[in-house]
Amino acid sequence: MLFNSLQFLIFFPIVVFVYFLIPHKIRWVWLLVASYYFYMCWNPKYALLMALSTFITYLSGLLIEKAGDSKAKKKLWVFLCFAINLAILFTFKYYNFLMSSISLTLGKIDIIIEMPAFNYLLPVGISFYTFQALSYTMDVYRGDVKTERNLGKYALFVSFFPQLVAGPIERSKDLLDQFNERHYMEYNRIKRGLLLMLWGFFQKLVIADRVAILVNSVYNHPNENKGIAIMIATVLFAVQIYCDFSSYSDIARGAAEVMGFRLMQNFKRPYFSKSIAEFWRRWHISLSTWFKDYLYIPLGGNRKGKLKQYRNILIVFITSGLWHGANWTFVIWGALHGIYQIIGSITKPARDKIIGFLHINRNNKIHKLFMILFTFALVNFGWIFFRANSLADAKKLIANMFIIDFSTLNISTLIKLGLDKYDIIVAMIAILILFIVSLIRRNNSFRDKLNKQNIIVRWSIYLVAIFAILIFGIYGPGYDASQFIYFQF
Amino acid sequence: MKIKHIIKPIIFIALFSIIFGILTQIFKQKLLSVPWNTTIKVNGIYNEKKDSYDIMFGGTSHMYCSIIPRQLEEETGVKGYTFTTSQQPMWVTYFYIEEFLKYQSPKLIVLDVRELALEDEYAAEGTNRTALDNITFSETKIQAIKVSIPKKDRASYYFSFIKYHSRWKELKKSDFSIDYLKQTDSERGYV
Repeated sequence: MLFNSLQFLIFFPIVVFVYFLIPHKIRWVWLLVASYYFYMCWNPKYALLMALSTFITYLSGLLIEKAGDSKAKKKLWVFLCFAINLAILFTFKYYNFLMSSISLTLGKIDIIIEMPAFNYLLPVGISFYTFQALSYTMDVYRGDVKTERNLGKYALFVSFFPQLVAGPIERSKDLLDQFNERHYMEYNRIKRGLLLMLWGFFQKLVIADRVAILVNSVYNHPNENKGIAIMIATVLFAVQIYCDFSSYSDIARGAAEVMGFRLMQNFKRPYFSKSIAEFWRRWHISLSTWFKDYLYIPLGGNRKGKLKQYRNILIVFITSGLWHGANWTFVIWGALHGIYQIIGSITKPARDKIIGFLHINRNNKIHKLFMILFTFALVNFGWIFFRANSLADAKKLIANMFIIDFSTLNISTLIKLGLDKYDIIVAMIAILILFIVSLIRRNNSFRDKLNKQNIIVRWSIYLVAIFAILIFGIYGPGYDASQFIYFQF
Repeated sequence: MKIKHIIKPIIFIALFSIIFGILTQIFKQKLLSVPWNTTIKVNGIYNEKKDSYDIMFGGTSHMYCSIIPRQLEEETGVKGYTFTTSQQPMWVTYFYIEEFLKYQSPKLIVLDVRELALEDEYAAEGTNRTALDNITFSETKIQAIKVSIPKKDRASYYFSFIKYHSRWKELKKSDFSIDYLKQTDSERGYV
């Protein structure tokens, strides 16, 4: 089920209503049923796959506990659990990529082999719930969380519908116990949750899906566009992927909050970052922390010398790239971010010297702005690879990007890219609103600030927001209920 | 739970519904330009004097292009009304007859049965919109929607705003006026 669908608008109130009606003890059962129903709306068969991963990781928890003091046995269970789940993930996600890469390479030396194809669709959310389930196994092994005996409650942890399909990727120590809490209908909390969902829908329906039209018309036809058009499309893709992804997390968090659950924040105004390292502390936080805790640190992190640290960074970011998709473009994207950070680290002493020499104040607003813009430029360059449909397309787009015809530097070029002038105006205004709200949120909770206004201001804002989404949103017959970008992961 | 926590949401929802209703009316596609003012032709029947027509002409555009009700009345004194839309599928014509009979008691119904030969399971969207959007919401309309539209697409017929919200780019002055709702068609359905 998509968040931006009539189905969800009916599903959600019903789930919430029943949730608060039934006795506390069986509420998790209701949520489990609702979550599986939510998932099965995509494809009933893949619910079995999720159930399988759920059961294996649940079992691993019990077996690790049973292993008592035997570290070797514990390691064995962890290994088996990871191996099986990652094998499932690998098969559905990367098998075809691997096979086609192999046959392409072999083809270059004239060896033609028929590779058996794996013709199953990628189960929605598999990268997310697999990682979430595996984090439980690791946490039990490390003693960070106690074993969950209740299979049903554990299954709910893996399948909890608000964050099932595109995150945030929660840790068992944060979410599992919440299912034992008693939640009450609290007016202010429900209002806050709904407002967060509203903000998510605004970002998704008014901004993300609108600029996507322009981005797609450029990125799906790399031969036809040059210079400024490609730059604009790339910056708008930066807007699109941020709005698309963070809106999903916002709707997830808001929906959870309505029922009394707390999910982690997945984005913290990432484009205001002053370095790539900082960017990854503010973008897709739940994934970054997952990789840090379960890959980077086990590899040694930064505790085994600079060279090993750089190696670890590269491994983590290439893996992260691959996690995002089975395509060389994602590998390059990941590697690029790894290299950015390595270069940043290597040049730090030199950069510090220069800053000192020029007497630049790091807290100076202009310097901060420069760092933000520079980081944004680096990130945007990376997005070219992320969005391009293939490596060849990416190369073409980059080559074409530097062919700047200054005579095309006008509005009419912009209009030829798929959006008419009305849509462009709406997009610009909406992005401006997004920017202003982001600025406000640097130091305050926007919702708290909103709550302090009088009822006429508040209700006007609510109604304007709701109708802005209803009027300007990209939905309805004639628009494909565009899926959130991260669903293909 | 405090009383205001129940009252406030109810008032908010009421406010929302009112504004939503107004916007639905504004954004609705209205076919008002003569001679293709289908909206006036169809909606006009609600403003006509009850039981004043002896014949209903229906079926498809062949009717509203071929029969001239005013001429018929001038020459024979018989009052007819062409109550149909273009390429109207027969299953919709059934409900158009039902709708017509709520307000009129014609002694004769003349139908163009060309659409009996329609082999598609569903008519094109344009055809459906023209036929269904212009009759008022009632049990008849609900039945007509159910028979004309597959389940997954029905929402935008019950709530036309879902379809027409994208008209924000092309709203005209005439969209904001509800005068047309009280008009009758001087041509009695003839284009």
